[in-house]
Amino acid sequence: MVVLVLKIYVVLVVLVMSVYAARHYRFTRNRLVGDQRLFYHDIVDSDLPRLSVLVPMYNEERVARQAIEALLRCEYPRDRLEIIPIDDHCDDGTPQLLDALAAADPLVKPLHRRDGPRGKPAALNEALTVAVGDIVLVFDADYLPSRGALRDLALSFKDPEVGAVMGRVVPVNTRSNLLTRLLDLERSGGYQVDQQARHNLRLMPQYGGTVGGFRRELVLALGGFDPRALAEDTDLTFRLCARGWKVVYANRVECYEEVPETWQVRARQIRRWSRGHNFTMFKQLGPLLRSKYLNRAEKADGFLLLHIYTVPVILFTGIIDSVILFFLGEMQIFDSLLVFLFVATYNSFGNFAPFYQIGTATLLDGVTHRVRLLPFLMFYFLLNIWTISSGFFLAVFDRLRDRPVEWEKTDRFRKVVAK
Amino acid sequence: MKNRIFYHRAYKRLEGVNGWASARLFALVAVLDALIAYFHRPLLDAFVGAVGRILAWCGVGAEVVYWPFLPVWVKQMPVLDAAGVFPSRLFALVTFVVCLLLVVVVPRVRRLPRVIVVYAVFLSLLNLASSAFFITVPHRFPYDVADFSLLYMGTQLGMWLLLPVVMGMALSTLQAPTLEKLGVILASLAYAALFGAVRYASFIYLLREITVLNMAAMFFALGPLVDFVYLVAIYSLYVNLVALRLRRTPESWRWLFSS
Repeated sequence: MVVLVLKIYVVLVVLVMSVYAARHYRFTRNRLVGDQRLFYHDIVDSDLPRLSVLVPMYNEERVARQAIEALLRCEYPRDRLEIIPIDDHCDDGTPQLLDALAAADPLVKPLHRRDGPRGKPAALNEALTVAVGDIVLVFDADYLPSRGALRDLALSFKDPEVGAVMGRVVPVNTRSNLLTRLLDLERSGGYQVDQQARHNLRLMPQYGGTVGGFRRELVLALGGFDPRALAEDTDLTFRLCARGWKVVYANRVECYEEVPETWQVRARQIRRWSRGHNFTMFKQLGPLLRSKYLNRAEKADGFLLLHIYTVPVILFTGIIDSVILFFLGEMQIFDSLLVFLFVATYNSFGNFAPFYQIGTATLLDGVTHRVRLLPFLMFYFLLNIWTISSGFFLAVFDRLRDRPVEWEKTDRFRKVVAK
Repeated sequence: MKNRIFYHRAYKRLEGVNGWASARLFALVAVLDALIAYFHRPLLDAFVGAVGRILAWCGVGAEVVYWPFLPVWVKQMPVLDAAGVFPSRLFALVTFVVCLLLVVVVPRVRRLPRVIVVYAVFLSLLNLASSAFFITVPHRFPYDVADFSLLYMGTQLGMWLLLPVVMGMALSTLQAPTLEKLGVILASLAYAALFGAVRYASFIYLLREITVLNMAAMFFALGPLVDFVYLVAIYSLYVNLVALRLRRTPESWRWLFSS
């Protein structure tokens, strides 16, 4: 009986992996040869909405100046813009740096937080109470937006159905080492193909918490961000979609970010994402399935999106399952093929984007030789399984104990800009 | 001054691959798989024969035996059998201690990249479980070299059948002649056979000359997991070629919708 259950579980794992492989194949095909859905940036309108740009920061002296200066260079009417860098309990030189930037330009209005819990959702909630813009855009402190980014993102809210928007993230330190090159490939697959295909197919593009924005009044009406959520972006995506709002993706709006340059930092980052995403999965699965505003395709896509950080856990338990079967002497004939199949299908799915999706993304991006690094993405295989699984179990405990989570900052690698 | 403006990468696309071209490719994949299935016996015989010759060249004797195999259309699977080295309890104990130390120590070495740490821990855990088995219930270890060979050959056949499907799927969206894509698939199959033979020979050599304790690690860490590395590598080389070709022919790109 136990053996039968173990064998059935292996089959289940294969099925799950195959569903994701098929989903990503559809995205790949749609993005490369299907009809593309343009974003709103062709709209010409002088009546732009009032905009508040929030930049949450915790000890960001290495990168803060460049981010604020890049935002100040963006083309947007100054009388309709404010930039609010949020000093979230910083204990390095960030507060002084922000004050100096504010003294140099009145558009910069730092918010110094010394009370309340630290963390992005709490910081955003406090900033939402002082922001005056109708539309709020959020950028992480290491992000360098292109000059048209604010205008293009804000324009999407001319569509009354749009509740949130997301732009494209492009690594700026790609050439640093092998890891950053691999992360560039992964980002390329995730945005150029995955997000754009979901936008094309009118499924559920995801608001990613940076290079994106939302309607301030709407989010306030929803009660702001959940301070327990480490993935407040995914949480907002699902809360909006379940209530009939649209999340749109702007592939043309490119913003440059610093990706982790060490495996340790990357592992911590991905564990945090997994913990936050899975916490959201537990919370939003019911509302998603019950929503009367979403059609079946949107619900199916939302369901698969919500479980994207659960799949490595399924595979992890699948591997343990297979090892048990091996030592029980039950790994025979079909099972050996099944193990191969689920490994193969997971490798097709692998790092959130299967190899053919990333290959296609590099083609579209005009990348030529860097695509040859694709097989090195295999390095992620076990790392992802391990870190994502540990994040999943942390999320389970978070949910069971309803405990507060501490926000873990991603280390920066840029040299301090002295000015 | 620019005399030509290229499409921005955000919304450019390729002209849809002709439906017939895709159908042709998938039909060829189906034919290829049918041929592999039909001629599996001579293919497997040739494969096992080649591995046997490699082993003989290394001075290791291995006998070809035929085992009943499901699915029924395979009927009998040729595999290599040899007397594996059964680990002594002391050897298993030493392995256990070494693996336990690795599991404890390696994650604490901060200078090691996490990827290496996770992979090393995975390998160590497999060997730890295996050595624990040989310490406690050695007589109940369920495999000998022939059993392991059967598992290996099953996965090898699975690889040959699945590779054209996965590769065909991955290549189907690319703009390139169908026969060229078929060439890539055949090249991948040839590499799979070559790599699979060398690996099989290495495994049998290790089991025959060193110990059968590493069977689990061989199967789970160096088996199918590694197969996808070269498949993706071949795909990436081909995409590189297609990308260079597209760079020379910017007129291949379209904007937004099919014309």
